[in-house]
Amino acid sequence: MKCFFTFFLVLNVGIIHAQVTWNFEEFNLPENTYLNDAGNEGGFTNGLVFLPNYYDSEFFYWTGWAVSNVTDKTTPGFGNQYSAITGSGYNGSKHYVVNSAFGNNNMVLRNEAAGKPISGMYITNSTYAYLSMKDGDGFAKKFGGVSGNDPDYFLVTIKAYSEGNIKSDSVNFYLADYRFSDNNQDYIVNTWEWVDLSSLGNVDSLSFALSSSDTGQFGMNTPAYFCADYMVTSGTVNNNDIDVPKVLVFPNPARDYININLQNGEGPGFYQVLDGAGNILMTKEIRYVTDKIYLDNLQNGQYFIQMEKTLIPFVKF
Amino acid sequence: MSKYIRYTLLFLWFFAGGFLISGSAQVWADTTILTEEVVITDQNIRTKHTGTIVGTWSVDTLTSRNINNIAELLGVETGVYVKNYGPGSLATSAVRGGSAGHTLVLWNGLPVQSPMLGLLDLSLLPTSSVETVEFVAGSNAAMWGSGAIGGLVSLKNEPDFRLRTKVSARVQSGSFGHFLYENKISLGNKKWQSVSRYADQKAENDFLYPLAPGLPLRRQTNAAYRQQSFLQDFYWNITKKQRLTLHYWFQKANRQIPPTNVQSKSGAEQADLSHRIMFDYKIFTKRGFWLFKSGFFSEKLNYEDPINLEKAENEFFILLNEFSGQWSWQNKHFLQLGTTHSHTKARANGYRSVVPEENRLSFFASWKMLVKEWTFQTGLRQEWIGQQKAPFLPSWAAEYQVQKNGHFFAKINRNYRFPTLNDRFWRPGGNPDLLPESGWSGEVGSVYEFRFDRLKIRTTMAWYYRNINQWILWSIQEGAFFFSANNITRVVSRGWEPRMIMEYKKKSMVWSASMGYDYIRSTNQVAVKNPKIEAGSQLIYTPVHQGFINLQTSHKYFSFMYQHRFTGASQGINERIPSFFVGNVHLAYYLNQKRWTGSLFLHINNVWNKNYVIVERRPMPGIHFQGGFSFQFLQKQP
Repeated sequence: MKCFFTFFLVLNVGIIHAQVTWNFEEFNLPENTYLNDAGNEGGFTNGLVFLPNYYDSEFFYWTGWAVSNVTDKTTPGFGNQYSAITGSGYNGSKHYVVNSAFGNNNMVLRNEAAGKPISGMYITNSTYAYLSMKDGDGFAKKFGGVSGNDPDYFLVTIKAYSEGNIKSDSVNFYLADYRFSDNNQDYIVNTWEWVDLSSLGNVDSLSFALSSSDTGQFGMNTPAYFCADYMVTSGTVNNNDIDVPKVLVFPNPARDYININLQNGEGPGFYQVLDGAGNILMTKEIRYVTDKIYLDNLQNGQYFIQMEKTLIPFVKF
Repeated sequence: MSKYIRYTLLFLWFFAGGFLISGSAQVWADTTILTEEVVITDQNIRTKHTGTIVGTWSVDTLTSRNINNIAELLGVETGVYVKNYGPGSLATSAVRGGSAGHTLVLWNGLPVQSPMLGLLDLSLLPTSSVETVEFVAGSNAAMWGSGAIGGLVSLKNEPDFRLRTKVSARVQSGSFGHFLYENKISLGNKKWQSVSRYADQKAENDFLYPLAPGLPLRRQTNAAYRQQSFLQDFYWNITKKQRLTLHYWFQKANRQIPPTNVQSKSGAEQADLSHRIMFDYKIFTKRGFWLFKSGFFSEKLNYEDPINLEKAENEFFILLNEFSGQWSWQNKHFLQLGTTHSHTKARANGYRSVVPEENRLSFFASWKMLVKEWTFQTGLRQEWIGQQKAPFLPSWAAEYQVQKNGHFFAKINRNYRFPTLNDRFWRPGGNPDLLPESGWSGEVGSVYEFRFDRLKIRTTMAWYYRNINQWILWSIQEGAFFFSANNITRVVSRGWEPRMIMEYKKKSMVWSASMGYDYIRSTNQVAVKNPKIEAGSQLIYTPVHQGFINLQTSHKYFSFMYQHRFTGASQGINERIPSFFVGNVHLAYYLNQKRWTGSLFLHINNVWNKNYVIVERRPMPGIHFQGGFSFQFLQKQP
């Protein structure tokens, strides 16, 4: 799969080994659509984060992560399964990811983010789950039950893996909590909420498991969905805030060379190739709308192309 | 009766029907129900069951007890557990611990189940559309094929060649916007008979129900329904030995699907539309008969939820043919041989681009033998579904007559149910490699009658055992992400069904009581991970204990009936469903004026105003009333 990446820097210029935020804006989907079915890639990559996706094109079934910018936060039911109850990504951004969490679903940290702490991410309910908990549906109950006093909950439990082993620590985040004795305190999350994962320490990957008080013989009745955005991992930065990309890099990963394409025809200009530690390896002038960079002198690994405020990762293999 | 009157009645029937359909309450004169005599002309050994207990009800009996559809009949008059989602909503049966797909429903001898679901919504079968209803608990797969594992409901339209004119109508109104209009007109002579039936029933079902103690009552919403049915029978005695029969049955039902008691609102609706046409040609011979029967059924089921923006359209077509012959020797040996063929085609959103078609072929034989006090019956059946050979189905039954008062019976047979189209073709989860469910069942029992002066007592008793292998269950297999149909468990059902009917007559006073109890243990023998099923656990929606008692008294023109039914606790999908009892009261005043009869009636349902559910989260109405009147005009052949 050809991917190109971008990320926003959250720390000051010149800082190496910083926290990096992944917000999926580079997917740049047409308005009010979603991206499912990662094909042979087995998932979607956003910078140093890999989000597994399984899509069965024969049975039209999927699990894992999908990328979305669906804005419908009022239509209940399965037909609106790709929507976040906020109607947008964190802080009004367009894109976010939707998780259909049948069983455990994972998120994998790659390259320099792997084996390092993850700060956290923003999480909210999907519209499907939110309206189901708020109003009930043909299968699932309205939280609180007939009296409003049922101690219902909808919980996402996040566990960490490090070097192949699952850690004993976990982070619980209640997407809905009706266990309060005072019903006025009962809530269903309908805003982006920061979930701090720093307590998990160094991690290679995360697993997400949903559980609900509304569970029957056939499993959980509450729709097993939640949405995430703005994941902050360890990473490498050394530049200013990054704009929405104007540069396309392909193929990626690449063995011999990559093409740099100025999507809006801008140029000529200068670009730099950085290694994972932020060191400038080369500075060149881009002379055409599409230019080639030969990778002969680079070892296998992740690198970045920096052009003005745009920072684009690529992988040499 | 002059032609003028007959045509006037015909005119009234059509136009009154049309007027009442439009929702206005047309008032008829005071009327009464005439108890109708059921005419038995069918000596088909395939429908004369040996080795089991058969319940038969005429439409008039059912009408007098305010039983308007087959779901209500099974729920009130038999020990069958009816899984009812609410008034006017889906209702399916679980006979002797079987699943909904284990009850075969026949209409004049042809199965009317949906091949997609393998079941029929019993709430959509108005009793007024047929002449008699027969219910046989236990397996009849050797006689009727796939699906007849738990029980058999047989709906029959039968001619009465003694009639010249018969016109009847019933109008009923009640709580929650309930309105029912039925009429029937029979015309003919000894050569031909035409019977037309129309039924129209609707209700808002906006009943109040309690949510929890201390909370205000909640009014049910989006629960309205309307069901219309038109059925035309035509019987023609071509000669004394040949009869041609034609049936056409049109049904239309629109119903809203109400929210559960833990759902704020629902906008879902379902529309069912069916056309069923059937004809049979019967030649009576000295020793039996030849019968050719053919039917074409078409059904559509459309579901729409404008709130959730969901829509589903399903339809199927079936062409069925049956050819059989029966011979007898010395009135002691009866042999029937026959073959059936069906072709099915179905469409559903869930099948995606696949349009499954299926051919079924079967050969069957039945031999009945009478030897002094003994009656023996053997049945054999072999079916093919496409290229796949179904299990060979034998059955053996015997009855031993004890003087004239009663008999003992026993029956052993093999069962099977072929997977439905949904089980095989639904995406995701349909499994084309499913095996048919199959197993053995047996029952023993007795029927005995006692008479003490004016008191008559009839007792029946049945014990049964049934073992079904390859039970089809939608489950999540290891490594899979979605539910799929699999042959993963084995279910054993066993139970006990005692019944007693008492009747005491003194002058014009009649007291009667019928009561029954059902003990059902129907257990999964194999543990399943998802859904979570423990080995030895009772099937969901299968109460272990059920009981009923019906008390009736009549004096001259008055009749009083009380029905009481107990349903034990059962396990639902999400929670335990508490036991409950429900009582109904029926009062009627009859009037007979030679050819004209009529009745005024009042039904009080759930008279103890019990708050109960049959299906979890689906509330049932508290006390509610229905009242109305009926009339009948009857003229027999001179």
